[in-house]
Amino acid sequence: MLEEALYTKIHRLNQKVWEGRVNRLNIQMWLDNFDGTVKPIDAERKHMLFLLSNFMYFGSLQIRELLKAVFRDLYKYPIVHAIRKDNRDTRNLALIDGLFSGELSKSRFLGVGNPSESGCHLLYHFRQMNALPKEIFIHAHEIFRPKRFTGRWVLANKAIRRYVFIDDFCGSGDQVVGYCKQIIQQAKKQDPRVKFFYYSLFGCKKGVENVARRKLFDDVQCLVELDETFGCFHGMSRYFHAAPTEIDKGIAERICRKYGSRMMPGNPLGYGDCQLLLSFHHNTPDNTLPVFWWDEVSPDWTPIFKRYPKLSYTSI
Amino acid sequence: MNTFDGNPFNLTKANDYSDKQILNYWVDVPGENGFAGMIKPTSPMPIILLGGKGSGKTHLMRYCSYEIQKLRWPAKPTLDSIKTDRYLGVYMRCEGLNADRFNEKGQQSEIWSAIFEYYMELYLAELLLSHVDDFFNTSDAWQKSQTKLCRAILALFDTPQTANINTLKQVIGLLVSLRKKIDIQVNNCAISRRLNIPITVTRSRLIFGIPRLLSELTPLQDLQFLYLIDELENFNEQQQKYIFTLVRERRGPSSFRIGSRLYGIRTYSTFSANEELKEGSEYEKLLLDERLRDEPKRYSEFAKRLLASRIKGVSLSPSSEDLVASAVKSLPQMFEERNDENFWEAETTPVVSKFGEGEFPYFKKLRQNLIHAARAGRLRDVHSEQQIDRIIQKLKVDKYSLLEKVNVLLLYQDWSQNKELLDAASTISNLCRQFAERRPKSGRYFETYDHFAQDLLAQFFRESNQPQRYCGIDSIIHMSMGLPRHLLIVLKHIYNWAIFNGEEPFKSRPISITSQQKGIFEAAEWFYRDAKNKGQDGSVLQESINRLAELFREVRFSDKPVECSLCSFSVDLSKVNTTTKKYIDLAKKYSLLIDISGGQRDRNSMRVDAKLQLNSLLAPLWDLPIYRRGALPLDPSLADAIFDPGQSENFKRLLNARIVAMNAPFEYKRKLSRTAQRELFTH
Repeated sequence: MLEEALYTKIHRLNQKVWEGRVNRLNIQMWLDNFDGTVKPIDAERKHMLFLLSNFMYFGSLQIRELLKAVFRDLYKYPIVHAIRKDNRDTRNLALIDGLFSGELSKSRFLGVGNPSESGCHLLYHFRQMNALPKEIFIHAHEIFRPKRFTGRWVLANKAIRRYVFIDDFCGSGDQVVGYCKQIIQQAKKQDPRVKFFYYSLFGCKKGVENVARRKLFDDVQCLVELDETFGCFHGMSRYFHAAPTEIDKGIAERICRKYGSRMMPGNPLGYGDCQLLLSFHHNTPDNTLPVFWWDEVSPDWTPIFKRYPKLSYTSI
Repeated sequence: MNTFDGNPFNLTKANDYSDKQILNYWVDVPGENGFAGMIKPTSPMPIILLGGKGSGKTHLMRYCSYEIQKLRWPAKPTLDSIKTDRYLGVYMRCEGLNADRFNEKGQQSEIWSAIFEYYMELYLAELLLSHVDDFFNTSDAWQKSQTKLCRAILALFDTPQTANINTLKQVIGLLVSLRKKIDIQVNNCAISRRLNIPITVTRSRLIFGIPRLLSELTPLQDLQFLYLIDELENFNEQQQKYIFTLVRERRGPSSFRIGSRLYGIRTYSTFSANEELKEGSEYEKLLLDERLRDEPKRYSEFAKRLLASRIKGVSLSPSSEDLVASAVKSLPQMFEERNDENFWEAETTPVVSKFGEGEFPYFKKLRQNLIHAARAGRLRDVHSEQQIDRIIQKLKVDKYSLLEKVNVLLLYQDWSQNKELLDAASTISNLCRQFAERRPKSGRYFETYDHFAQDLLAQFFRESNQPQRYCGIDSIIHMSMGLPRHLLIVLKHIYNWAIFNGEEPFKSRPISITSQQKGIFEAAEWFYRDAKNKGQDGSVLQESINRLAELFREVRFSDKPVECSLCSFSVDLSKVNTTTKKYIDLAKKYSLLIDISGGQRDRNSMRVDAKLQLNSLLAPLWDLPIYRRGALPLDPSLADAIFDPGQSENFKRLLNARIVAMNAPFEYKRKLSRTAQRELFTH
């Protein structure tokens, strides 16, 4: 009976939130991965079905709305606020619009990482949703240009005051720091007045704090902050408060840890031990429990929310 | 793409349809001139269409509107095409008027009444003339009579209007500008607290005058101008009174079709000395869903055609008729059905294997009941566990769990009559053997089987933790109870579940029973939740329905149910309190309860009581039957405890008192008979 109740909940989520991504057959194929290594097969599968019934998914529509909110709430409003403050709290919309346009033209938006990665992929929708001109979007290498004669790299456009990095997810924060550190240090060395911002749609609290602590960026924010309660097996985990009696948090963790250690021995519960139950329309972050997304040959595994990995040349 | 986007049953509300969809999704009832025979668009007699939410009122009324008439005609509107129809439908939705604007804001109610009537006058005239203009635009002959008609229309006003109006477009422009002036004043009245609107035309002069002029001055003689006023529930009492006054004062070639939900009519009175509109002579009433329910065969065929047209994604044009007819024919094969041929074996066998060598739950329960009663010395001839074993042994029938259930029921019946159970078990065993071998069509065993087989099967599923079997196209249609929207919603959920379960609905194999059960249950939950959306009354109604369904469930799953297929009750409404009456009435209006025409004759007094059925769509929430057979007579105190929130604290006590006689050891009945015996000897 519990199994059917869980399927009913999953069906509703699938219909209303998950954009019809799963069906009973591929759930069954995913459950078939669990072969009774930790507990009897039925118990393992029931626990995994329970975790699936708590899985969070953000579809295309939600991501697009969040991209609107990033621009409006994190970028635009603080600038408008400053404009009004500098102009005796003016309510003159024409004046505000004019000055904001000026600030916008002196801003550049960038993705985090390689243009093929999800942070950059989002920029296309970010531009669409906020009706922004394409001139204000650049690749990271366009921040600089080689100086004529000397070949030394200098800021390509000295009029630019803001560089805004847009990301979909901030897990541990290590990736964004690694990617932006040199760029920001180099730019600030040339012009300390240039400001750098990092705005993410989602982020683990620890990861966002990690990025902010490095003081690389002038502002670090994320729209949806995931605190420790989103960590599946964390002491404060939100998922097991009202769990049915047949479901045990310890058993669920043992199952995920055991199978996860075959996939990512160093991070059996997801990169940075984030233990998330989270996926997006465009990809699943590696901070989510690997048992949900692993799609490699070793171990052979059928995922339920597939992750499109960042393959490097060496792994190809 | 979301895999659920392709669901052909996603659209369920006629308000959301475009004009083209109204036409494309149109399906007629078979026979007696279809829906046209019900709404009679060419009849001068006004009709008030009442029906539950989703009964198809809006679809039917919009189908009669000029916008859809136009789409039905093959090419541009011509005089011939409209003369073939013999009517012109002017459709308006009361909701679109924001009628609650014409209220309060520091103004007296008679001022609002006058302004509202004036506004309606202009609004309906504008709608009518825009249709006429659209229609005549294509005709050259029209140009000649246009100026004359315009002048005659202007003459209907009490105050002289600007003379420079020669075309219908200009008249429409005048009406729009007058209406906008009202809009501005009414919308700003909350701020200005003033209304200064000169009323330029007397009530009903345009509404009835323009059709008369069209009939006299244009080639539109013999045409009925049909005002289709939908969603009357959005008008307040005074506004409804105005509409009914128009209905009473109806003149010339005009008539009305007025649509409202069952609970939407606040009054039938008119401004003519507050007299009520007279049914039969001044208007006819069409109870749409009731009419469809009362003709189950016709409704079933209509429902199948409706589903077939959605599945095939085609409208029922003559060219697609064959396609839809073949889909209707194959519809039963698209849904997995119960095996009714030999269902006493077929339905139980898959579950029986679950128990293996262990004792079946109904025997376990019987054993426990007998042990308790024997220990208490309440059984005449059973005193030991060996005797109990012998009884159970006699009731066992290899492979046929359903017959075992019948045997157990028969034993409980004998027990309740204080018979000797060892003998009773032997007799039952013989009856069962005869029944299994010869299949007699009469006698105690046959009658019990015939009456209770479905309930006993339901008990068997429940005892085995299996979901109840609600499936098959006929059951699904029956559960919609004359409300096409319910049918579409059930199918919508079934389709979604079938997709989720990896099936290919309506393509290859039939939709599984599991997907049907899940979809039906989800639709039932939606309908139940929807009841709560009716404000405070909604919560009270929901709780009342909970209590009623609990009573039905307790009876159905008791050891010795007194009625079979129980989902209805009868009650003497003259003896229940006013709150109970109010909530029974509301439950009927929201289609939670269905009135069974003819009522129920009380077995003792021969009095005819009201008879009501729980809407079949709710049945799955409590594992109740969807087909009605028996009706449980409720005494007024129990009815009050169910429907009156002030009396609900008595419910559990009264429920237990009612149920105790249906469960072993049947003490209530025994006590009663002992009391009766004592009384007999004391007199």
